Amino acid sequence: DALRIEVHAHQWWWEVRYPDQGDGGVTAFTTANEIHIPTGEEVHIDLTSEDVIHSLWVPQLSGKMDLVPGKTNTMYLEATEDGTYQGMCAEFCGLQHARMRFLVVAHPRADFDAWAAAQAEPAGPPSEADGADEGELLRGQQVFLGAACVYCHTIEGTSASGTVGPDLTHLGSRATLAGGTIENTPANLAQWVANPPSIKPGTQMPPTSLSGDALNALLAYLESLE
Amino acid sequence: MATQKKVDVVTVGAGWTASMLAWKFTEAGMNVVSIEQGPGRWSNPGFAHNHDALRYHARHAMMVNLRKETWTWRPTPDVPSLPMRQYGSFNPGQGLGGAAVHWTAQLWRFAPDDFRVRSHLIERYGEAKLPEGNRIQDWPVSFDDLEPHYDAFEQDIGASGQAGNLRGDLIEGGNPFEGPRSNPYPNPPMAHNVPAQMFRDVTQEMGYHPFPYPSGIASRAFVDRFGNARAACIYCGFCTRYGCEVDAKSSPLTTHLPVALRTGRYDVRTRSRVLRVELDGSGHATGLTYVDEDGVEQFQPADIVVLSGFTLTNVRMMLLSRNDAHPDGIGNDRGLVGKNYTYQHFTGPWRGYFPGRRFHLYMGNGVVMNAIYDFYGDNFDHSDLDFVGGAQIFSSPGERDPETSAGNFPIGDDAKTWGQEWKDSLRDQWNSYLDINMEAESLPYEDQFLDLDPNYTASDGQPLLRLTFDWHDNDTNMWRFIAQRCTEILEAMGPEVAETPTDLDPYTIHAYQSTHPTGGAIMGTDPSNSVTNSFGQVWDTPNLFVTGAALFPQNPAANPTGTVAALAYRTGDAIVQRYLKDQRALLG
Repeated sequence: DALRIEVHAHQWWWEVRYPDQGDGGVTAFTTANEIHIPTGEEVHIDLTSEDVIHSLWVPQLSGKMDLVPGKTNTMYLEATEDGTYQGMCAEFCGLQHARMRFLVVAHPRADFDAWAAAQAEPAGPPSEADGADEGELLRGQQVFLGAACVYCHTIEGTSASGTVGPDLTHLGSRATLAGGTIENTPANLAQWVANPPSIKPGTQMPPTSLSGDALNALLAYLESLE
Repeated sequence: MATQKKVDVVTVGAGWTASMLAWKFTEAGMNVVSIEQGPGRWSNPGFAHNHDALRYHARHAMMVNLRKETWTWRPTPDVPSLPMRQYGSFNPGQGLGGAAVHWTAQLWRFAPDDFRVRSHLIERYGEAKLPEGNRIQDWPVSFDDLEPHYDAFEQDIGASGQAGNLRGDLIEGGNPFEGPRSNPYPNPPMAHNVPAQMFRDVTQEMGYHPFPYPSGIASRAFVDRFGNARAACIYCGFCTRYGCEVDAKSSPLTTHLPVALRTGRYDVRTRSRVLRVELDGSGHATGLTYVDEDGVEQFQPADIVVLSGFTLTNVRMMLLSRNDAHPDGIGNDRGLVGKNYTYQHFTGPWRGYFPGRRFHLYMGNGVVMNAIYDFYGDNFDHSDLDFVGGAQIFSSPGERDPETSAGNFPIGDDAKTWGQEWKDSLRDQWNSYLDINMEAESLPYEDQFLDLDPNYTASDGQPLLRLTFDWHDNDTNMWRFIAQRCTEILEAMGPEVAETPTDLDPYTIHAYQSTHPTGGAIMGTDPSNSVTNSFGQVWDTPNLFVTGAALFPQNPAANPTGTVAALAYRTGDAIVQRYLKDQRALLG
C-alpha cells in the first residue's frame, strides 16, 4: 500500500502530516514545509486547505494540484532518484504567495523509516547534545513556554499544543525556515523569531520583545529540537 | 442491566477530587473507575480556538445540560419550589475533569478561624451574637491538620501567589491574615493590570493590606512534579467558563488525570450518568448503577464508593440511594443530609469611570487582582455591628469579553440604555471603567436546606434536588457594611462617575452569583452533628466517602477549591495508608 501523507496548506506555509500507517511502521507525527518520501515508491497525498486556494507543485516530480478549502484533493508523487526537490505554491494565495515554498526529500526506504521514527518521537527534556549547555536549553524551553509561543505552536513532549503555526517538535532537523524560504541557520532563526515581518511582511507571526539572554536561550533550545 | 467487573473504587464523575484520588489510588496499585456524565475532551484539540463567548459564556457549553437535570428552588419552606430552567446562580460543569477545567482558578486556603467559627464567635462576642436560627458549627479539622495538604496541592499544580505568613513570619506584600504556610508558593503572583495597581495604592493609603490574588494558573513556565513542562498564562481573557488552550490554568487535565490514566488502572466512562449508589442488606455501599452512553443500564460494583461529583449532585445521590437499611437515604438516618446548605453573596460590582484612561481589561484572567482581607471573617471588631462574618474585597478581573460586557452601559444614573446616547457611552466607557468586587460569606440556618423535590424529576425519572434558601438579616446587614467600605475605596480612586449598588439583591436562582454552594453532607466530630467524619467517610456507610464542598459545615468568604483539594488529598492518603488495612472501619 502506498505511504499516505496529508498536506494542509496555510497562508503561507505547508502543514505536513504523516498519519498512522497502520502497518506497524510509521506512527503519526506532524511537520512543516518538508515532505520526506521513500525513493522509488509512489506516495499518496491528500490535499486540503486551511484558508484560501493554494496549489502544490514540485516541478521536477509532478504537475500542479490545488488545495481547495472545504475539499480534499488527491495526488500521487514518486521520486525515482534520491535527492532534494524544490516545491512551491502555484496558486496566488495572498501577500506572501511567493514565499510559500517547500522541499521534497527522497531517501532510500531504510533512511526514510529512520527519519520517520525520529520525527515521531516527542522532544525529550533538554539535555547536553553537541556540546550545548543543558542549563541554557532548559532556560530556552522556559522562555518558549512562558512567552506567547504556546498559543500558536506545538512541541510534542511539552504542554505546547498550538495549531495556528507550524509544529516545532523537530525544527532543528529541517533545512529551511519561514515557509521554505530561508536556510535554517542560527542567524536566520534569530531574525525570523525576533522580527518575522522583516522577512515576510504580512505574516501572522508577530515580532517578539525578547532580547539578550532570553532570546539566545530560546534560539539554542529551538535549534536543539533535532 | 449488566454488571461490570468489580474494582477497588468507583467514583461519581471524573472531576478533580476523583482525579486526585485516582492518582493516589492507582499509584498504590488499586483499580479505579469513574462514571462521568459529560464528554471526554482534552485541551488539544478540545479547547483550541475556543474564544467564543456566546458559546461558552452566554450559552454555558461546558455546563450540565439543564434539560437533563436541574435544581428546584424556593426561598422559604412555605412557598412552592420551581425548577431553574436557565442558568443560573451557579454553573455546575461536566465532562472529563469536571468544572475544574473551566474554573476561574481562584485558589484559597481557608483561614485558621474559619475552621472554628462557632467557638471563636462565642469566645469573642458571646452566644447571643450568633444570628437567630443559625447552624454554625466548628469543623472537625483544623487549619494545621490541613496545612500539609494545602501545601502539597499548591506545589503539585504550580500555584501562583505571594506568601503572607511563612511559618509565622509575616511577609510584606502578602496576606497578613492568612494561616502560617510551610512553603512559599511555587510560582510568583500573576501580572497585574492597572486597576489592580490603583486598588493596591488606594487601599494601602487607607491602612489596609492588599495582596495578590492567589491563583491556580501558572504565572511562568515551570516543570511540575509530574514532569510536565507547563506553559505560562498568556492572559488571553477567556478564562472562566473556558478550557485553557495552552494548559496554563491548572486542571485535572494538566495534572492528576493523565498520570492516573497512564498506570492502566484507571478507567473513565464518559457520557454515562450515575443513577444511584446501590446498598446491601447491612447498609454498605456495593457500587454505582449508571446509564452508559448507549442508554444501557449498568452496575459497577466496587469495594469503595466515592461521591465526588458537584456538591448538589452528591447530596442528591445520597437522598436517592435508599434501602431498608437506610430508608431515608445514605447517611440520612438522623435526618442530617441536606442540612447546613449555604452559599456566598456577591452583589456588586462598584464601578468607576475614568474618562481618557484605558484599562484593557480584555487582557487577563480571573486572578489578576489585588484583594484585601481586612474585612474578612472576624478580622475586624464586630462588637458594635449588627452582623457577624465578613467578605473579601478585590479589584477588576481581566475577562472583559466583547459579547457579554456590552450589556451594562451606561455607567451612572440618568443615562439612556438605548439609542445614540447608549452607543456613545459604550464607546467612551467600555475600556475606561474599572470595578471593585466583594465575595461575602453566608451562614447556615435551620430554614436553609436541600431535599428532594416532591413534584419535579430529572430525565432519569428520579426527583430533582430542591434548594430552600434565601438571605437572612445577617447577610443584608453585612452587605451594607461591606458596601460602605467598597464605596470608600472606589471614591478614594477619584473616578469621574461612580456607580454603587444600593442594596443586597434578593436571592434568586436566576442571577449568577458563584458556583460555591456548600454543605448538605457536612463533616463533624460524631454522628449526632454530621453526616461524615473528617475524611468524608459516611458514619453509617463506612465504605462510602464524600468529597467536595458538601462536607463544609459552613462556607467562609473564600472560594472552595483549595480546601476541597486539601481535604481530598488528606482523605486519599488516609484511605491508602490506613483504611485499606481495615476496610469498612471508621477512620479515626
